[in-house]
Amino acid sequence: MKLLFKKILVFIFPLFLLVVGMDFYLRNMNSLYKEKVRGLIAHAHEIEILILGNSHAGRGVDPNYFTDYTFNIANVGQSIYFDKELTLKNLKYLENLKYVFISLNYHSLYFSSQRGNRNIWSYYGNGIKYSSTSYYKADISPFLFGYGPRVSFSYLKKDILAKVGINPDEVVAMGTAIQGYVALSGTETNDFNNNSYTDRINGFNKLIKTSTEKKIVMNELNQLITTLKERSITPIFLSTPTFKEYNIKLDSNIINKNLIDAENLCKKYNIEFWDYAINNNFIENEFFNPDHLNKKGAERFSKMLDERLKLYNN
Amino acid sequence: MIFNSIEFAIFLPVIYGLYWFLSNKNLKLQNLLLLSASYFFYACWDWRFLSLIVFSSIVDYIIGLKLSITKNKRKRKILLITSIFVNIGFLGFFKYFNFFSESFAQAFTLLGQPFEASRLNIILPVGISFYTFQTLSYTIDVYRKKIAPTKDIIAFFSFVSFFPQLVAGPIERATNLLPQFYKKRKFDYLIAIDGLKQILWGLFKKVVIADNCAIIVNDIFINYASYSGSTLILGAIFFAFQIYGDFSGYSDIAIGTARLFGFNLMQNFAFPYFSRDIAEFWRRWHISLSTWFRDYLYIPLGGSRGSTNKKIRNIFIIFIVSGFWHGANWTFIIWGALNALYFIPLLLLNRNRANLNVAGEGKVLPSIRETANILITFSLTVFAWIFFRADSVTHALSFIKHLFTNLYIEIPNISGIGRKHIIITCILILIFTIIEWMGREGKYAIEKYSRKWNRGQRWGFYYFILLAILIYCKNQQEFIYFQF
Repeated sequence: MKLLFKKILVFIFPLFLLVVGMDFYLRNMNSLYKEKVRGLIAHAHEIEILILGNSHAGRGVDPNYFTDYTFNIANVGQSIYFDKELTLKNLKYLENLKYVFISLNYHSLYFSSQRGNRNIWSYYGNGIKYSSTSYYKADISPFLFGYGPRVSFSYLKKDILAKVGINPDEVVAMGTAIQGYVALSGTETNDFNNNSYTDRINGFNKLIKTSTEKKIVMNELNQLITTLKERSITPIFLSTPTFKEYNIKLDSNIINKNLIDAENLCKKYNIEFWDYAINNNFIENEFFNPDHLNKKGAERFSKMLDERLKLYNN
Repeated sequence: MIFNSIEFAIFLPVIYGLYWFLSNKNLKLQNLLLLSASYFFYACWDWRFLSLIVFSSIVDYIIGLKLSITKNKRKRKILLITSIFVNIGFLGFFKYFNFFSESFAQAFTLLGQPFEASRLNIILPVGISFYTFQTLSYTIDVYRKKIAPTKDIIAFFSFVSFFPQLVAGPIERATNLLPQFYKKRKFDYLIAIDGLKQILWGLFKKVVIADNCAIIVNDIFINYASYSGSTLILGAIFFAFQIYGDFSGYSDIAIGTARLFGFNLMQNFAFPYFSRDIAEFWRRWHISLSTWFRDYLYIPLGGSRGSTNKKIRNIFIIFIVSGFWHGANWTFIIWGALNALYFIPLLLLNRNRANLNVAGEGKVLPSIRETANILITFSLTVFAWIFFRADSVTHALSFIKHLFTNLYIEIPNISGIGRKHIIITCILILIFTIIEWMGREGKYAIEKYSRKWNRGQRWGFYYFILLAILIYCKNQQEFIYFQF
């Protein structure tokens, strides 16, 4: 018996070291979530405009082209729940905040819990927990239960490659996000075809059609808007542009339903909806892929928003 | 609590430590610990259904004792029927009530008498098909006087609920497992190591092979209409590996775990995809269920004795019942019937016992003839699996119809999965098949051949398996056979 335990311990020891080492690496690893929170806290007193939402707003609105100090806290797959929690958690520091852009995309009203393991990944970066997600395992070991070994190894690989000068852009280094913004460069031309549009839209349609969270999202939105209004901060609904050929494939019933929902919300709270989703003014080389603007597109779009905001102010 | 979970990774060493350190000197205490652990293990799913296991155990324990003191044949038969009625009654209610209710309603509607089916919201208790058959085997064997009824209530209850094989088998016979609860178990280092190896291999099959295939299979079977025939073939083949990896993986973990506690469970899978005909496949696939049906259904029906018609009838009965055992759906019945159709020519030609040894026995590679037979048998099996996997008969037929369209070789582009994942899964399946082939003469693939290696090679191999399990453990899917 002793021999068995001894051998098991010897056998497991390298694995134990691997887990401890990886956990240490992952806990100290930088991420877009960490970058954004760090930036937000550091510049809290300057921020006048805050951008919320998922990757569409995260990549599509470049705060550097706004006249007033703007910060982009939107992130990949971020739901309205996390928008709300992030804003309310930091509201006490945001003394000069005047406007909050709340993203309402094709699927925004249909998910509160973030897809995949993002409830846990974002928690590692910004410390915000989702109510129905259990975090005790994720707290014990990010390697085993948070990111999982496959994703962890992939991060480590990217980090090592970046250190030797291969694909350094793929790693979120300290200071990568300027005012919370990281641009997507170039255009993934392979993504501009009917199959790709259908694939993406099917994913969103599936999420929308199987969603049971709309009521929860509406409540979260209600809490966010009410709190902002109480502090005399103006919320504005925003949708970012998507590619015209992609737009044709979107489900018109869902679009109409979204428009009715947005209209009702606007009436209820007396706020505006700046809907750019299907304006079809942006061309292929302004997109990274059919539903994300690239650096160039984000620049033009952000300038448009800034101009409109100036008019709105007047 | 599932085997590939952190909860089980904590549960097992704790029970193992208590079992060998604290209760080693007292057999009753050891059995009591196993019983408590088993009930806790089951209660982690749904404690309410624990009452079903306890009730079945009480009924069969009392009936077993009554059978030992009853000489009257009629009374003995009544006791046996009571046990069958109670056990099959539970199984029938929880598993088949809605199926029969809906099928009757459909039949009446077809006959022009519209009839509303009453559907109950019934939850299927995990493992009910497995422990029901296990406890039934005890009563039947006591009735047949193959085994003496036990007076040791703890041993009997532990036999019915033994946690390694409680929820998905192997379905143990009382003649094999029950006596092991009477004997003092001694710790054996080599057996413990062997058990750990089998657990490791079972986890690899489940986590790396089955769960990886599942992601692809699920998408292909849901969106089959938008894929080419060749993608559907790939989906069906992947399902064959998914179900094998899933179920035989579970069996390996169960057998390995039992070995850690000093118990020997029966082999449940013996490299079925290397079978050279369907008869051989069924001697190698889910052995504990096939032999259960053979002993308690096929042989009492007359087996392969009697007229040709009777033989054919018996084969159809056993395969259809076996299909129906898997689930209350016509797809399983058709799957069973299809296997019966595959089997009958072999029986009629008296070729059903032509391949009793292992393919390519003593050789590195199989002969060309063997290879061809293996591929034909595998193709027939894969085709039958389509019915097993499909949600309904219409789904299966539509899938098969699409199977013969757009047959060209391509690596499919599956939404949200990507070609890279498919290529990696193919490579993993290839590695897995090679390892299984090399170890096909053992009880499980890595049982024998790693013995020839030195420690460095052995540990390197185990680390490779462990690392693969670690890498893929995030894809966690439930074991398919839990639903049965």
